[in-house]
Amino acid sequence: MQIAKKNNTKTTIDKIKQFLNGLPPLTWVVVALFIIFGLISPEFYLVDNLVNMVRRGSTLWILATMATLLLISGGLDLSLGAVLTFSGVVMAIMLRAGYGPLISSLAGILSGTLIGALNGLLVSTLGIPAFIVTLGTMNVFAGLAVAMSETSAIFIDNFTMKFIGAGAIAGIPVPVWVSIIIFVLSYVIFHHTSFGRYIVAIGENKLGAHLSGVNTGFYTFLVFAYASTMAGIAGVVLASRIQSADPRVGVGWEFDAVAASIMGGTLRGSGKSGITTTIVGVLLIVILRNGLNIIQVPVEWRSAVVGVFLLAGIIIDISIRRRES
Amino acid sequence: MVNKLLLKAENISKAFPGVQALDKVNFDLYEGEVHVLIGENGAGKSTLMKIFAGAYFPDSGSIEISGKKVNFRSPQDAQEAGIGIIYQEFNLIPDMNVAQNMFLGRFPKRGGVIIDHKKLHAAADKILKSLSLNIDTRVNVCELGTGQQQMVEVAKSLTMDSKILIMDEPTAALTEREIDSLFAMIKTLKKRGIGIIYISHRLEEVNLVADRVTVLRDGKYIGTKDVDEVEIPELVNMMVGREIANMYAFAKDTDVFGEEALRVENLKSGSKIKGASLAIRAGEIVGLAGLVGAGRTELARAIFGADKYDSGKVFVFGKEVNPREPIDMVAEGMALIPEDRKGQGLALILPTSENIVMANLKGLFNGPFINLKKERDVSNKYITDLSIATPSHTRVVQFLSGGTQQKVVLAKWLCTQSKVFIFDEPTRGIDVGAKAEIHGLMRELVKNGAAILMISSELPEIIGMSDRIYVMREGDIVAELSCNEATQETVIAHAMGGA
Repeated sequence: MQIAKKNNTKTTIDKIKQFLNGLPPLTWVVVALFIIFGLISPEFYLVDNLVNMVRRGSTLWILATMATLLLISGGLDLSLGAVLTFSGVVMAIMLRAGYGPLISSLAGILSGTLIGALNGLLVSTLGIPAFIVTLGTMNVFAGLAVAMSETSAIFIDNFTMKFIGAGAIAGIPVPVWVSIIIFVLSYVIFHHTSFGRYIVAIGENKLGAHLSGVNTGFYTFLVFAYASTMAGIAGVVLASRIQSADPRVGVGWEFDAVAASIMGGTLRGSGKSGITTTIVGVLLIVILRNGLNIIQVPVEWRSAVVGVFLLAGIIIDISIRRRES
Repeated sequence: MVNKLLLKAENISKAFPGVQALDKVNFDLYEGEVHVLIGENGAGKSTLMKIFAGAYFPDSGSIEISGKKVNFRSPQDAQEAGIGIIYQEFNLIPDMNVAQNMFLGRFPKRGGVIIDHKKLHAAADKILKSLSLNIDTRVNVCELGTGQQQMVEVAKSLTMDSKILIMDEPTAALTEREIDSLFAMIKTLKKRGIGIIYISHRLEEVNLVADRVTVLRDGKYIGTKDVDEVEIPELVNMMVGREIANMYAFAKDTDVFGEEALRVENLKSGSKIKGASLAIRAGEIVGLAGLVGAGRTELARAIFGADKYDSGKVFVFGKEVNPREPIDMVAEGMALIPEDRKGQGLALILPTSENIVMANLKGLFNGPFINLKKERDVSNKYITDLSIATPSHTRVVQFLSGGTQQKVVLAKWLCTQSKVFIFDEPTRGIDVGAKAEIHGLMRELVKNGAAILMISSELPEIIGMSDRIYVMREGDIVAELSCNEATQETVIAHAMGGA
């Protein structure tokens, strides 16, 4: 009897140890930053600020999860930020023209799908590298967003959209719900469907997948379409949150998304780490940017600091990967 | 007149993981002679040449250049000792001109910094003239024909004052006329006292260009003969003369063949496949023999839809098909087990079970969702049936042995219920035990009505396993041998053109 009990406690501790080991190394940096920023400036811990970080993080989490999926499949999407902006602008314009919130939102989301489909088509059929294709679409649609909104923010005054942006269900802000749902959907797709399997296979060995009869062209296309659709949803929610579609918002999000994904450990094990650890990278970026703001680091310095963390994160990741192999 | 001994290599041995590439090989070379080196695929010719060129280090043995013992630590050492090597793929930079390529890394410089173009071209012209070559040194190499590029390579080695020139399959990409020019140039070089080591698969050339010929087999030194004293059949015998071990004690049931499973009519693809036709029946294992570069893999990939081809027809069980994508051919019941199992056959970071089901997700599962329990059961079934040596179905395939990995690839295709299998070098790099197991599995497959086209460069394997053998040579299928007619000598003779 005694022996059995001892074995049980051992395994629980082992399980905890296993969990802690599986966390991306930067998790501890996140914790450290959270503590340090608060020590320097206690305003960091104000409820309003924390809620603010969570809302911001929810948008970034969607984009970063998509970035992770794309990286795992061997691709890259620089237009995600532009989709964020463009979809918001489309929705706002529809609302202003008198259409209902449902149709306007769908229009915004659909515009994301179409951009993703365009990316996917160019990459899979013409074989143009994703970097170049999405660089192009990024510029096209970021530009169109500015043109269509006539360079100024479009004010959104709609009850439903206000609820989506500022409301809460069961105490959790609606935007966070949206991100959670998107994450769960992506998780299920990645771990439990053939689509998810093919994403990993294509990213790991496209040639081998092709020779195994996988329709690599179609699934490459699908990843881009899926990612941009989710980014479209994120854009609609974002516009609701700030109650306007601002064509300048969204610029740079795609870089934060990829940075968050990489810092969350995506490159390590390329694929087997899954999409779950991305949230650590998201937390890191959100806490970093917010904290730098609270402790009043001059704006000019902030990007540099984020850059340093990104580089450090990659170096740590690669060193650990090398030691493991 | 006794010619000086340029190179003397004794007891050279070299092992790579899993294979003894060279086993106590001897070789020597005199001034002004052409010494040809022949042997099958994998005999060790390239390895030996790379050792002479300083690209590989021998595990044991000694090399003397002009009587002095040498120990090359890099290709540069070999170059300084006067050894030049011309690889089959040429080492030229297409966008630089002839003179620049000839003196790459050794440009004449003014004040040690600025390239002296006048001197460069003058020196280059001088060398080309001495070889009676009419090539403009200012032309970019990419604009030259293959034959001329070959000449530039030879000229390049002369800029390094090479006393020994190693040529790896120099005539493989040349036309008849270019070959004549090359032989003429070789004669010129011989007169200057340069010794040439010449690797070739073309037995008919041995008489034309060689003074002596050395045969390697399975990494072992078989013998050296003066070209006047030996005939081709004897050379062939030296190249392949081994016992076919009783590895293939399968009874060949010659009556139990079913309907025609695969037929290819006059398939052409660029310069690689010049019009190949073949047919396989259910229950047969048909071998496709030939040298590396004969076009066998290209043919297999074209049939499977992995590569585009120009013209020709493919029929699967009597139905004409259009192989545009592998996914189409998989739907027709075809499977390709590729040569490069790691690079093309598996997703290395994924577990065994996921690799096994990869080609048939649609067939195994309803809708888009993967039933993890079913995946586990199906993969475990194949793990048991094929004796796949893995501790669990979740084991990542990267960590499995070569033979085990090959079984996983095979399991993947069994999972698709394919009927026509193309195996490309099924047991390459696999130990004897696993080899036998895979052969057994292949025999089982055809007993159950499948048809197999097997590409192999191992003569005992292809002769022991095949009911019929097609031999491919330089893009053509040049022979079809029944299992009675097929001996190692006849296969090799057809493959090399000495028949």
